[in-house]
Amino acid sequence: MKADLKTTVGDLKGSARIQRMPVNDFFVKNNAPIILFILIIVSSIVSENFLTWRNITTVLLQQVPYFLISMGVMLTIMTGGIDLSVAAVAGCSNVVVAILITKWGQDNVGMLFVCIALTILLGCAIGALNGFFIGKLRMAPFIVTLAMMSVAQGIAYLVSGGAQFRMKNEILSARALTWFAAYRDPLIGMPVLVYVTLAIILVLWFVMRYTPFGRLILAVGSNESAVRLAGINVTKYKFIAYVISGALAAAAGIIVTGRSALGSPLNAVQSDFALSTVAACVIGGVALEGGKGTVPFTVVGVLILALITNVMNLAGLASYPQYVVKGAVIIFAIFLSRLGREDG
Amino acid sequence: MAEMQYHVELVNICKSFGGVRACRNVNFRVKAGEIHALVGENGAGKSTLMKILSGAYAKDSGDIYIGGQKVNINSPKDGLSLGISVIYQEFALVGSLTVAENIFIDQLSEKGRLINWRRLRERASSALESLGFGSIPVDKAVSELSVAHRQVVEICKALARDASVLILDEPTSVLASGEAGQLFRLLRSLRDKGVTIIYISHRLEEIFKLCDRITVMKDGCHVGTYKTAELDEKELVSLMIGRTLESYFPARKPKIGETVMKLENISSGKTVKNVSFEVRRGEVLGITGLVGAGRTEAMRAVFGADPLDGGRVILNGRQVRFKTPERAVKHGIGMLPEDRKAHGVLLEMPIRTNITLTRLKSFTGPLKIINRKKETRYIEDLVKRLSIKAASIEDNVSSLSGGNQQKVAIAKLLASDCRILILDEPTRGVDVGAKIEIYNIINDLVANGFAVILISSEMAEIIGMCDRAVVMKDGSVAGILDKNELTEENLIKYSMGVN
Repeated sequence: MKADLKTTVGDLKGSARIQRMPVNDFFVKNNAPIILFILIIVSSIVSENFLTWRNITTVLLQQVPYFLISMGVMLTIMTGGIDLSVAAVAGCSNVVVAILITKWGQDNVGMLFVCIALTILLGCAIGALNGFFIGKLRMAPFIVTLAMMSVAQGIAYLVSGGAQFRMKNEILSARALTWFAAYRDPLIGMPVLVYVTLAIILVLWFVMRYTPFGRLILAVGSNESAVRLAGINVTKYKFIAYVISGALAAAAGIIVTGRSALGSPLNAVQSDFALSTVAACVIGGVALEGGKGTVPFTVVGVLILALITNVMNLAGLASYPQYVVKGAVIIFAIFLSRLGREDG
Repeated sequence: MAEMQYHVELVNICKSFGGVRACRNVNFRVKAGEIHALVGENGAGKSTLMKILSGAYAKDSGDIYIGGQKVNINSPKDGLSLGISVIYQEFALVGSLTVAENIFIDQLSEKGRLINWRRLRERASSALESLGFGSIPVDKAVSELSVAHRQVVEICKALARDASVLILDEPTSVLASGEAGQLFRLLRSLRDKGVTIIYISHRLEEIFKLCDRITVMKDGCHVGTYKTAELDEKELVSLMIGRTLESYFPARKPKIGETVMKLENISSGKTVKNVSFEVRRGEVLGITGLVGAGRTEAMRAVFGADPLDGGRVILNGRQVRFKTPERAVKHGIGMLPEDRKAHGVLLEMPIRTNITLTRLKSFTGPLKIINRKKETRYIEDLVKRLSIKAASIEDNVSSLSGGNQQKVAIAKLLASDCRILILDEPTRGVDVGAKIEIYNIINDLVANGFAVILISSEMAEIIGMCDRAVVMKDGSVAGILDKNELTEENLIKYSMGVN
């Protein structure tokens, strides 16, 4: 009856809100796009460079790894878990793909695809381990993926010997990768990587919205034991979510390599991928307890964080205070996204 | 106007939530030192009324008198200080703390001093002793106690705060019949000591056993207050639902066929030992016994939700073993879990998602896209068949009443196309109307050749619904009773082990 009390009170709040002002409900539901909209206005006031095509396309290009990783992280959070190993997996892939290309890609572009495929496979493998421990052995996602983060960091150091790995320009595959990573379509100057990312996002959006897989990912996060007792293989869906997360993190790492021509184990320990992508999900309304969230809103979450960084850069803020501001803004944004939630 | 013989008086209470009038001019008077039943279907307004009395809700209008004095109750704290305590179904105890700590949770130390553990234990054991439960160890963590004992601790905690009015909301829904007897004795002795008890329950048999007077509510209105002796069960039900009812348990002509599932010496963990029985096509097989007798645990092990440590499951003549519920469902065995909110439904998901969870594949075409039209048709069909009352199938299940939530869980089960259904307490916390509807659904299922295993603590339900019943005790089968042997005496005898 205690739970009853809570739900009734929640219902009351809900109905009272709808009655009093439907507008309020609209704001609560759509706070992420509204925040984004406000940010765009603020940014364009702060800097006249903000609304230039060059800046917009560059921001999007910079955000490609964040978009990819946050899609994977989103899936794991939707199932009621989390993937904190993504930054390390991306960093590890960043190093691994650079080394593979240098070793095999001297004068054969075809080998580039092999290198990329192998690296993504590595990401899948790490994701599969996460998925096995979390889905099959029912271990806590938080600590499993945190430990896996350390494993991936270790791999990055081991394969590189701790040193940065610069891909030489004479290597054909390296040249191809960096060219592709920077290539903009001649028509409107949009980087091709943005198109690729958009395609991946659209596929995921479609899958989440229209297929049994998407429905069940959310269902698992909503009430795992009910779904299990209904006779559904919960383990499978969790496993797949972590594998996809690993794969997308690896893809992000490869893109980092392509954009910098550099494989650095420091990427595995220093990048803000984990914080930023989890924060993007939460800001976009993906509930950390699972069972809630949509692809478009997660994309909005990524954009919000991207704009915050971008506007700080455009305003000429030094990089150290940026960390503080970004962290504070993330906390504030999550606070906003919790407003009006019945359990909030 | 307020006569002294009434301890608690609620006069002309009104309360609306938005447009819904949950209480309309309700008058409710309870005498000092009586056990007063408050009954009505879910949504009749009895919980709202009790929340107003305890201070969880603020009334819109009306007056409250305690001991003839007009009082203002604006918060649960006000209620407590007037001696009004609510014992909820899910107890407000902290499982990891000891019995003593729980009883005195808000008065662990005296006057801001450090905790005197020896004194605390003494106070706790004397409090428990005064209730006749000195046997409950005060140093044990509450989570290690039986549900029945937890309830005693909860009552003890209320009395430690000088409660003079106890409100019990469905206290026996978590107990089995034998344990309920203990609770009743305690409540009667408290009544004799002058404690006023308001007793909310859907179980009519125990209301007649326990209560002195009965107040019936319906649709937010006070229907009437009666002496228990003035009514019989049938009359009470018709007062509650506002129409006369032929029979509480709808009749069924059993068409029992061959054995579909046979269990041989099932064992699981420490709670299930050598359980053997069989269930036949078209049969409702009851499983009953005290709470903790291993009923749920046995079926969970068969179903693959818990490990099956020993024994054989023979399904349609072939030995099977389900490592996961998924395998069981694939073989046509489905389960309606005991705890609806935790395991039965996805509360924060739409009715749509809940019902078709297990059969999404049957609505997909190429590209694995769900054909929503086809899905909607299927869902609306089931919603109509089970008469699930909801504004829209896109509503979250949490917005439905308990009975309708349970029907959604049943719809989800039926959608998985299982032919052997394990229903674990399907009518717990469900109002009379929905209960009868669920019984009708069960009858309909067995008439269509399903086999139903009905786990229930309610003797009336077992007797009224089952063709046979397995009585469990301490993890083993104490007896298997045929229809003509299904009597309260026999059920008590076997479940308590009295011979």
